Amino acid sequence: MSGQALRQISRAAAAGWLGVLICAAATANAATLTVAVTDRAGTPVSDAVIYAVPSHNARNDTATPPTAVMDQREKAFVPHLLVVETGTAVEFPNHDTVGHHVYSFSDAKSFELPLYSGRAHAPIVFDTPGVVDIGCNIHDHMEAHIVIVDTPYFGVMSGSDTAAIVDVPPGQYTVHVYTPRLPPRSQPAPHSIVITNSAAHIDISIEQRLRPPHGRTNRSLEWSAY
Amino acid sequence: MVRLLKLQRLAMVSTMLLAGQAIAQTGLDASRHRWTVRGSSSLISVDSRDTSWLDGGLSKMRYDETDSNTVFDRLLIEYEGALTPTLIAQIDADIMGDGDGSFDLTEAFLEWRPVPRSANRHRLKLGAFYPRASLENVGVGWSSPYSISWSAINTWLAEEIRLFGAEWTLSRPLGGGGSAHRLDLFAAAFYGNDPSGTLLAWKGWGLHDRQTRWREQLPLPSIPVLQPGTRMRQHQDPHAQPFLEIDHEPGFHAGAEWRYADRVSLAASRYDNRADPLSTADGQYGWRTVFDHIALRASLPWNLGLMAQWMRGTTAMGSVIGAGRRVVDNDYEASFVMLTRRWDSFRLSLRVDDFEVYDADVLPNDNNYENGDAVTLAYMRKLMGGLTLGVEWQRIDSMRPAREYLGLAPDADERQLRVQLSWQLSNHAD
Repeated sequence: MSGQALRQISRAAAAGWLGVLICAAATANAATLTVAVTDRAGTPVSDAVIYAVPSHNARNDTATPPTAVMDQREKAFVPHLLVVETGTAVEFPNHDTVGHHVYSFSDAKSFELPLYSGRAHAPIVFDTPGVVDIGCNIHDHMEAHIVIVDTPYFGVMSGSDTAAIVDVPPGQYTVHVYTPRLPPRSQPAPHSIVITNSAAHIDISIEQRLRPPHGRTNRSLEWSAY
Repeated sequence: MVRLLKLQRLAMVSTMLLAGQAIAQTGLDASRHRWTVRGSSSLISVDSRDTSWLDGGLSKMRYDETDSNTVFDRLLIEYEGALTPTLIAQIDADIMGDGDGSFDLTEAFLEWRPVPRSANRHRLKLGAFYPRASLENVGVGWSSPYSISWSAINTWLAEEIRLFGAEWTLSRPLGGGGSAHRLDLFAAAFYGNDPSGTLLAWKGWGLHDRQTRWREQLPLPSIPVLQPGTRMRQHQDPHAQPFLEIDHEPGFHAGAEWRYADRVSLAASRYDNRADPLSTADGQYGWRTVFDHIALRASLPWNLGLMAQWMRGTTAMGSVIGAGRRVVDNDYEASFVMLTRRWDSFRLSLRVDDFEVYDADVLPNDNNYENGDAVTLAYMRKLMGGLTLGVEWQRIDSMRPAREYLGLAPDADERQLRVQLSWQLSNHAD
């Protein structure tokens, strides 16, 4: 190994340690909340949003949340499930060669982005809490859900065993779960938790029968013919 | 014929004008105007005593032993474009090796897709199109990704059924938000298609990949009732033109489909061309053709897909001459079950067909009875550069007494091995 390579490695190691120290300082007054959402059989629920609403008024900053992205790739919305804080602007870039026509008639936000490709439309601001179901008017099989919540503390179970919410300040919280695999009125009951400075974890088991997960479970059949 | 051709020409010209105007306004943006050109050729090895139905024989297959081993199947051009964000046009035109060498249309329609304002989704199709029935023909230009040759049911739709009219579809989830159940209701009213049933009665079922185009004339077999000088030939040309309007009365196709996520779907519909069986025009009879149709799709374990269709109906022409049946009066029934599985770059499909025509009339020298079954095994593989390879083995056993009119035994055991290479070029990636 050359001397130059060794120097690069030691420099990288030093930078790494510095990063760890900075992180430790920044999170000294906050914890990570992990939530595992499982079904009756104990299997992680692939499509579920979790969000923790503080019982105290924890927010003192009024900064606009960063812009979120609902992408379109290979005639599918990516992600299928997006959670954002109230007031977030969401961009809808279309990366397919075919045009998409995004719409929603949900109460929380009714909108339409007429047939386009690329980034032809300005982001949409979601300013009412709730669930917005979106579709494409050209490709009826395309669907996705945007969950708008009144808290900056949220996460998504998407193919992993748990969802993690980082940098949660100490205090009392109500933890909610939303999954599009249950009707809006049959969502799991919320859980209360007190967050201290250490990591916290909640297991939530959904007892109701879930509808099948979104997406093709079997690609041998062509379903989108009509 | 003159009247229908005018209607067809009007529809074709207006669709093209609208498309041309939209292209002029928006440029040839591939996200709005999509072109696909697809050419297919096959190597064939046929084992059959029958002559192809396209040469006046009674073979169930498209090609016979007299055809060259290398055949040009089809050159398709498909245009699909958004004239406005909610008005989509689709035009399919093709040339076939066993056609007259000209470009002609298989489908051309406008679809209005208003943006839903509630859970009810409405769609309205206008033009010339297939009825909503086939589970197989979901590829470009009504091709099938599952096999080269189609089931008896869908082959018959390709030969003789096309709607010239309007189809409305309402789709909505069942049981409120979050439900994986969906119900589609559809209803079409159409002109044309009055002679549908001519080929099914006199030629019988077929299993192939040839679609009749708008103005095409298809040969009828050289059976006794169709010989020159017979009474039948006073009004019947020696060829069929299944899409003509004969009695100026509209027909309908209507049904419903229930679907649970991408797991299972079940559709049922009725077609009735409401043709007057006593009417004749332009060398064709009106054939009153009615059928009920059921289609089932299901995702099975091991990533297997199941498809099945069933059809039963009647077709009749002429006056009532005995036992309440018309001069030519046939009942028919067909079904198939297909198992298919897709891997990353290829697909294997196995289909078993069953088909029958029951001759219910008393007309002498016109026995249209038929009973048969078929097994089709297909391997479809995507290659590089827009190429698709298909390899298909097919065995069709059928009993049709009318073969004796042509000097053949009623029973036929036809076999075919077909290797097809298709090449697709388009201005879009999917």
